[in-house]
Amino acid sequence: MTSRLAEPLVTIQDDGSDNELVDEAILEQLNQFDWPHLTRVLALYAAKQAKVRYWGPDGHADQLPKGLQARDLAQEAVLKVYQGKRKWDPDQDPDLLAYLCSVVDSLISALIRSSDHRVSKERMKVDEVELEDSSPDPEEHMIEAERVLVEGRLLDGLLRLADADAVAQKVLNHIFDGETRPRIIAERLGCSVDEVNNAKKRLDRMVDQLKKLASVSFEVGEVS
Amino acid sequence: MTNSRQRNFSESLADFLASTEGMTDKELDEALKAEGVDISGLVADVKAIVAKGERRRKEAWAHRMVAHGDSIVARLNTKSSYEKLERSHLIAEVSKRAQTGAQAFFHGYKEASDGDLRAMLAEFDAVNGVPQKDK
Repeated sequence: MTSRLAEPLVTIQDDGSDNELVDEAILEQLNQFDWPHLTRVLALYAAKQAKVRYWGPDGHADQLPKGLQARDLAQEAVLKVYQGKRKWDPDQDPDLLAYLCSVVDSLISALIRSSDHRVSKERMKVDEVELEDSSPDPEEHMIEAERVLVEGRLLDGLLRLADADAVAQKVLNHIFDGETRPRIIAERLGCSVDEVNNAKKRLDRMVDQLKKLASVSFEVGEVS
Repeated sequence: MTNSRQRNFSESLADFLASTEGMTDKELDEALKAEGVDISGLVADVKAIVAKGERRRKEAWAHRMVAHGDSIVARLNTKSSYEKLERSHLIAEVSKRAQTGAQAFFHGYKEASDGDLRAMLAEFDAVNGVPQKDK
């Protein structure tokens, strides 16, 4: 089994040390799960998180760096838990899927922080961003500034694309407030879950559009 | 979705887009295909990771059982082990080991058919001298 993940994420390789750090009882619990289903849900989570959160600087906003794919992130998360490099404690984190998702989150954050993703000040005009909670660490400040810029552009772009889509706009408002469960959003909007799920598909396509636009803008030099 | 820290907008949006409540595996596969994810390859890779974990678990269990067995034999070989209380304790330990072994043995039989289970019960009854009912 090999990986396309490069440092500092490299671990998908059979170095003979797998599982040595994992307690026998934990391994037994891990083996009880419906892994084919769990893998599907985790892979979809990784794909959506990577798509929405990662905006590459090299004109390929629709691709992860170094030839990585979302499936690599999902596989890496499972491997880290099985190798004991991320220690799953069922008493502390009874929901294994949520725990694996947090590992995927960490991997994506590491990608965002990697030098490949670092966006130049010139391109992103970071100096224009006012941060409420400025970090004394210049690098942390830069990363946070980039995140705020990307988030702002993402939200603006989605609101523009959803201009004539009242349901999608309302759904976006709930997401902005931190509610992400379609069933709860449907209850609050007084509509069916199907309507919210349809809006989800439209919003997903809008994110795809924005990513394509971001790539094209870079290629023609329209960076602002 | 993943922790108590306040999720920012992009994380929340991704959580929403990744929500899978009520989705079948077939629907999940379609959603993954739309994202360009080779799910069959990934499922196979994860299956290999899980299988390796299971091998390691069995090896660790076997190692522990051997150590436990050796410890019982060592104590049997000492003079004090012939004392009544110690012997009763050793019997309990051997019994516990047998029970653990049976649990580990049956662990891999979750998918056993009714026929398999009946055959195993008959085998255990025979080993333990349980009289068979008239069919």
